[in-house]
Amino acid sequence: MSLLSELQRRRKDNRLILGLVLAVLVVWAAVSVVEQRADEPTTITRGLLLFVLSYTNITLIVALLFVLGRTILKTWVERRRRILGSQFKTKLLVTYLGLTAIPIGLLFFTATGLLQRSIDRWFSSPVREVVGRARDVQDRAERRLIEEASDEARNAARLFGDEAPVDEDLETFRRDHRLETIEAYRGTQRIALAAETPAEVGVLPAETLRHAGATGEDVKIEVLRDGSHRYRGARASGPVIWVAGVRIGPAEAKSMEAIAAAWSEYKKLEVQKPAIKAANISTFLLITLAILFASAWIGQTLARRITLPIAALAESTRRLESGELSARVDVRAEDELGVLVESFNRMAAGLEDARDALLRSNEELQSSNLRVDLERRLLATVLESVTTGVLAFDGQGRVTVCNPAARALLSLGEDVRIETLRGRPELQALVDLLSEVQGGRLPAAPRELALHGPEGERRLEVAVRPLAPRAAGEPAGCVVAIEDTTHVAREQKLAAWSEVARRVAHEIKNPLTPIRLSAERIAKRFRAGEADVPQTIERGTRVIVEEVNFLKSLVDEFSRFARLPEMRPEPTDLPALAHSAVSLFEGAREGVRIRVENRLARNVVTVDPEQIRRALINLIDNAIEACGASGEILVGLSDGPAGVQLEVTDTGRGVAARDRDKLFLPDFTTKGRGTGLGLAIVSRIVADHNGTIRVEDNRPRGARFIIELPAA
Amino acid sequence: MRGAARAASTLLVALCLSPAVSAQEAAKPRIESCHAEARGPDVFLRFRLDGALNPELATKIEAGLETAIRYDIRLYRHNAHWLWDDRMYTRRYRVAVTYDPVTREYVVAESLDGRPLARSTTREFSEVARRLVSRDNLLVFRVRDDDPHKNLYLQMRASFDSGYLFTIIPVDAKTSWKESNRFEVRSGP
Repeated sequence: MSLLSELQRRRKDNRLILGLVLAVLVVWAAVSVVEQRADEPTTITRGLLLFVLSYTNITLIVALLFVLGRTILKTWVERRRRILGSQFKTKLLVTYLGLTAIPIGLLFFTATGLLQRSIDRWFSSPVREVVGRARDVQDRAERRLIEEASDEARNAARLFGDEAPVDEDLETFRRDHRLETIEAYRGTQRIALAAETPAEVGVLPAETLRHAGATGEDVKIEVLRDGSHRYRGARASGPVIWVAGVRIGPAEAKSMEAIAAAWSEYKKLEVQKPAIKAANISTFLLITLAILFASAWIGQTLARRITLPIAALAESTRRLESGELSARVDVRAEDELGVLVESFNRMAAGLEDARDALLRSNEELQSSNLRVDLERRLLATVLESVTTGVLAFDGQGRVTVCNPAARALLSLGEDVRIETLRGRPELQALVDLLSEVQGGRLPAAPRELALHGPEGERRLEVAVRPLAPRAAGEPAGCVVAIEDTTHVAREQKLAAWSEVARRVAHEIKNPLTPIRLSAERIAKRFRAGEADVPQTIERGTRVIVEEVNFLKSLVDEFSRFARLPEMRPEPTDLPALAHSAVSLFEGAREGVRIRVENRLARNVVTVDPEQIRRALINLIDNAIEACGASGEILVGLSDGPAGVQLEVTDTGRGVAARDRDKLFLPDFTTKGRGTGLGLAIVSRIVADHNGTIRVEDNRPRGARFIIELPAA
Repeated sequence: MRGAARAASTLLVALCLSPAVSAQEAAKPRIESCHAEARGPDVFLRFRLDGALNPELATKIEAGLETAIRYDIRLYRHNAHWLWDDRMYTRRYRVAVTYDPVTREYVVAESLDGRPLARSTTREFSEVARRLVSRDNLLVFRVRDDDPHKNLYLQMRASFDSGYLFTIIPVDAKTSWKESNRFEVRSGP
């Protein structure tokens, strides 16, 4: 979970808790009001206003205490845990609350004090005295009226006794005593009435009559419709209750009502004094608490708004420092803090991207290293296990690789250097080859080395290939592969000689049969003494001589093959050599035309002229044989990719594909009567020159023998 | 020594405080008597409240402010074999007094569950005081035929304005619940 969502969740929790507390308080207040005050009149002392004020105050006090307590506890915990920003938050909060609470507290106490003094002043002695004296005056006035009414009721009782009087007498009594009413009751029933307006005089309440009957007298004060007051004094006389009524006018009654109302209001206010104080103090307290609550809330919010981004920044910085580059500030901030947060997030993102790129690069490098290491180990294993000697040289001629096979083949020690090779004459060919490659020339065909040691001669085939330079212009190294061909050469030699022996035996056996038959025929005729013995002897000896000559030529040919002279390379004019060889076949066959085509840039090439001439003769001889009665033979000289190229092309019957692999073996021939040594001799001469020979089809017909010799 | 001194001082404080506590306990309003009587299905109540009419209340009445005492009355059936008794009915009897400074009469209004019960006037404060704190023959409940008729009793308490908590929170004084005698209702003619 991110920091922002955590904060939002906590804020929602707080709001939920606060909402629940407020709801509980409001419900509690409402239930209390409804339950206790449903049937109560709404007065200032016990009215809804005071209840609402009280419960609002309680709610605010609880909420304020909750907020303050929570804030203080949280701040304390944060300070204990040394959370960054807690000290700043504490200072900010204390300052804010102090700046708010001190003036508002002073204002509250001052205002409530002033208010209480003002309320006390309302109930000061002069006011109380004035109201009290006015009420006393009213009391005395009323008492006089009541006494007057009571006296007149007693007078009526004395005059009329307990008998109901005649109406005229009662009216006379009323007028004489200037009364408004005079009545007589028996129980609760009126038995006589005399009044100015009888219809306006109601029956006295039964309670008053009962009380008068019980106590002897009672009084009833009535407020009439026109505002005047009527004072009815009741006096019991036996079973009859006499009631005399005195009336005062509306103006006087209004004054008395005003005095009574003022006295009543004053008394009410006096009684309500604590409630008024409570209501006013509650109002002030409500305002004070509301301000304090708002200030605590705003202070906390402000402190949080400032410290949260700072704390989040510090936390993210710490995470960054510990290597967690995915750390971001998830707090929304505004103003300069917002810019700072945004800059920090951008920086963290940049760092993370760079780290990711570095990691990817490192992974690729590691993968590459692993692959290279695997290849290196594979190569090392291969180099350790192969019988082919491998030497590698860098651009400066230093030996970088020398496998055990190379050390064994070249009899090298552990410390192998180019000087080691140069110091050994038998390796001169290898050194020359390396010099050629390092000199920038294309790699030549493999060369053979003959090393003489205690185990005898050892033949090595050496091939050199250049390495691609690391950078353009840098000297390139090369790799030398050394193959021990001693046993191959030996086996080839054995096989060749075995084949030669078989061939010689075969070729010798063929002429022996006619020789034997001629000898047997001569002997038979001689023993028989026949007449044609001389002819037979002549014919037989001729056959024998012919076959012996053939045998001699055969032996000579094999002798030549066996006794190929040591190669003596010398600068040779190759076109002249070719013309010399071709001249031998001029007129050999009428229908066959032989020509030389020279495209060499440089005519002089270092070769053994005798052997190359011999090879050309063999190839031209075979070409004439292949052409038959007519054809064309072209001896071409040109510059090849590795040196010079000699081509002998004919338009003869060509070489079957199946015969091409065996073409240069000593026993192979497509002629009816040949030794099969011609192309073998050519192949050996070319090999002695470190060259190659191959055969291709000539278009449209015929064969094409291509000899490539290194240019030297 | 120190422990003994502390115990002695605690005892002394307790002894000093006990008369005050007792006096306060004695002055505390309480339902002195609560007697129920069944006449047929009707249940009548007679009660008396002591200690409620203090000078503050009297002053309030004299000032012309309506002053009321509320009585919460509950009818229970006693369960001898259970943890609590069954509450059957609840009533609120209210007596309110208002003084008219012009006519100099006290108007006493009685109501039961908000319905007017009686209204009377008097000029005697003693009569007002009597009506506020006592009542005879108050018909409070009518037990139905399908209600339990035996092991019944009443509980009642009085509540009235008393003052302010922390000078700003108005609070009501309430007496403790007073239980009446057990009675039995006989239904039918």
